[in-house]
Amino acid sequence: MLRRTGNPEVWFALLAMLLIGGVYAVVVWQTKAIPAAAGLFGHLLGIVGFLLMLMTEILYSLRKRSRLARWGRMSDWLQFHIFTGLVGPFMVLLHTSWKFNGLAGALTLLTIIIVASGFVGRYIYTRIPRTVEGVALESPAGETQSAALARSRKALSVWYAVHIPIGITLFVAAFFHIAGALYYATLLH
Amino acid sequence: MEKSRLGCLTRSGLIIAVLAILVLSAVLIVWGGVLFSPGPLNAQSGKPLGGVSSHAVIGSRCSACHSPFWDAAGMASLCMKCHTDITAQQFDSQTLHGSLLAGGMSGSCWSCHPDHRGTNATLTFIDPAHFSHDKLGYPTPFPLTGAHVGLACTRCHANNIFINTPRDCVSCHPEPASHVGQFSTNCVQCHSTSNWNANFAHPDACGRRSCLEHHGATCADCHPVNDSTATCTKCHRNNNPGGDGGGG
Repeated sequence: MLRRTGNPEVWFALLAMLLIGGVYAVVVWQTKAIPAAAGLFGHLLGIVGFLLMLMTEILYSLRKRSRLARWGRMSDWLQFHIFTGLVGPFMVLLHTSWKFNGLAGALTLLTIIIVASGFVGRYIYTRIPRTVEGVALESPAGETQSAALARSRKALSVWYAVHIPIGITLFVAAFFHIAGALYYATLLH
Repeated sequence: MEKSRLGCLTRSGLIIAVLAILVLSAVLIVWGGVLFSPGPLNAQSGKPLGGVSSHAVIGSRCSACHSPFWDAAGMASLCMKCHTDITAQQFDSQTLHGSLLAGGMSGSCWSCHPDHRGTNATLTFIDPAHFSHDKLGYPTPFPLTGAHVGLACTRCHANNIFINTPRDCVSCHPEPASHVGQFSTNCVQCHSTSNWNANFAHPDACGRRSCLEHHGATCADCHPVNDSTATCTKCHRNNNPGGDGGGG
């Protein structure tokens, strides 16, 4: 029942990032300028990137917590979480136009931290044996592994306690950023 | 096990969310919209307008330039509150901004004058791709033709200053010493941007035909020192091209 996988979602994410990076490079080459965060392309990157990040957070948590929305395997949702959790932040990073002032700069920093934290979490997560559905197995595979497994479980719960608050802070700050952009710079009219 | 405690709507998650909202709201109340500033404002100071000598001075008063999106007047109206000279220019096509509008240029003030790019950043960015030089210039347009095509903007508009750029040729093409006093500075009488000798009619030096037509001589053949002295000795040993028997 144990599931051994490669990391197809990471490869798909890299492919998507390569494509988006390619489009970005073409825009830079054509306009001979870094796309402004408030321009058409810059905003597109920011909005789509943010929606992907929002899906990363909400859909996975919803599937995980909800007693009603049970469709899809947890492991597939984790793959989706990892895919959108890499591609979304990448687009948001391109949206910054490489300026990191004020709240937007703090937001970029939080985004980088949460992605790094996600990598750490994924590493801990894979150390706990799971069913093909992605649910952690309660009984250890062997007596000798139980101590290591207990350590991994402990590490995972500590990691959750860090990863989730960072994510929540990130989304609160993102909503402030969006509200500020709407208030101060809607179409810069 | 994890499911019961974790997920984003945990107690600690909610506490963090409330805390983040409180902290950001407090920062907003204390410092205003500075939190959202994409970068420092330009510090170039000039004649005070509306009691303000530079944008940087009002860097913490976002609402001086930014109106909320539901305010129909928009940002341009706030620009013009201080920059009244530009407001007046709009309606006069004999001025820079008036000529831009008369030439069919559209866009907001910030299309050419973005800010928040740093205290020393220039306040005028003009994208040549969106800028029709043929239609612009005052009191009449100044189309770029011939050798003027493709020149870098800075060749004529030094330091990104586009206003009051001299239009006369001698501002960029100093009159050569040999030219002074012999010819006028109404350069187009003889020169065009695509042809140096476009309208140049050489005086008939030998009394018959122009030397230029007759021999295909270059200027330097007859004017080796300067244009106010001439010699025919390159072809005529006796310096007498109009003499008897065809000269010599």
